[in-house]
Amino acid sequence: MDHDKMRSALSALRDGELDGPAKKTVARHVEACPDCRAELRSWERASRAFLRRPSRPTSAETERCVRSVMARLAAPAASASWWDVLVSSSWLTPALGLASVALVLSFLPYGGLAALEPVFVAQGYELSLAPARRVPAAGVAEAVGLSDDVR
Amino acid sequence: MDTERSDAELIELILAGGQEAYAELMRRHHPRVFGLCLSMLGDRAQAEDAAQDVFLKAYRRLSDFRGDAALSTWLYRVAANRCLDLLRRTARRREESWEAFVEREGDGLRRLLAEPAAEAPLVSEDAELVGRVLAQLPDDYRLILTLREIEGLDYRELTRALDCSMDSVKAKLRRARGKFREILGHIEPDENVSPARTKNGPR
Repeated sequence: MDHDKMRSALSALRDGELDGPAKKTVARHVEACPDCRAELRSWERASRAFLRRPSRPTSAETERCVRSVMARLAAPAASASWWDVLVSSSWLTPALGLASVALVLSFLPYGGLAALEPVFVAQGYELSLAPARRVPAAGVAEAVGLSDDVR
Repeated sequence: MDTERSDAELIELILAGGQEAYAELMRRHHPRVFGLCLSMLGDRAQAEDAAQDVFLKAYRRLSDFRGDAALSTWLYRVAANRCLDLLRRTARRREESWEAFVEREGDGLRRLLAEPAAEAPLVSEDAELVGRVLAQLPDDYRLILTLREIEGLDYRELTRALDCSMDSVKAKLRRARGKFREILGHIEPDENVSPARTKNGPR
């Protein structure tokens, strides 16, 4: 095993996560390698100095937590915000999503909506985007000078 | 004589509507949850609030707990996510640079490094020094080191608590420790390990 691989196994050695043969190999390397020994030593010192278990909660702190949580659980309607209820509902969020899409689509100009037609078709929907034509009553078109292509 | 009910028994009771059993569950696991929150957030009041949030969320999601890991590991996961979320939201503005801090507090930091393992918790001044050092680490590095070194989770438990693969746990721990060593190098430059050797170093 080359040195880089040995070095990368130091963490697992420290944590006792190497199996028997691997552990022996890496441990033998550490005995012979001052750099790896120094690295393990620096981790040990850093951990001892800066990764210390904080003081345990007092029994008063624990009871305060229990009381507060149980009180909130006992009054969910009063304490839950509308946002909490919304996010926790399994059907409401997708329904609102669809409603938002429909609202956005209703404001799109014809050109924008036409660009979405392939999407709807791919989903199996037909999208009728032909603009409605108002056909003037017979005779009115000539009277107002409308050409054939706009009737 | 009543024997203590297991986590699984308590969960069954809770899911059947026995809300009071949740109080027993909380008392059992509060020290762990609070401990992680305090290690990550560095402030007792914030840790108390965060622990309450964790237990509220855990109650609402209790039906999602499948029992394939220990309940404590699952709670660690909920707590870890909460702490990371809170840390992301907090704008941590420093008035003093890390270098200036090390120059000012170097003696205290070196004293902490020189001390043998201590059973007693840190006094508040030392706790502030420690908090400032840990704040140099990216939040996810701080989290994995806390879970491994302080809370004692093994690699399998870490994969569950962090919802990642075994390879990811190993890689992240290596990187976190590497970063920690860099930080140490600012405090004690003479103790710096020499750069990575070539492939053909000693076996």
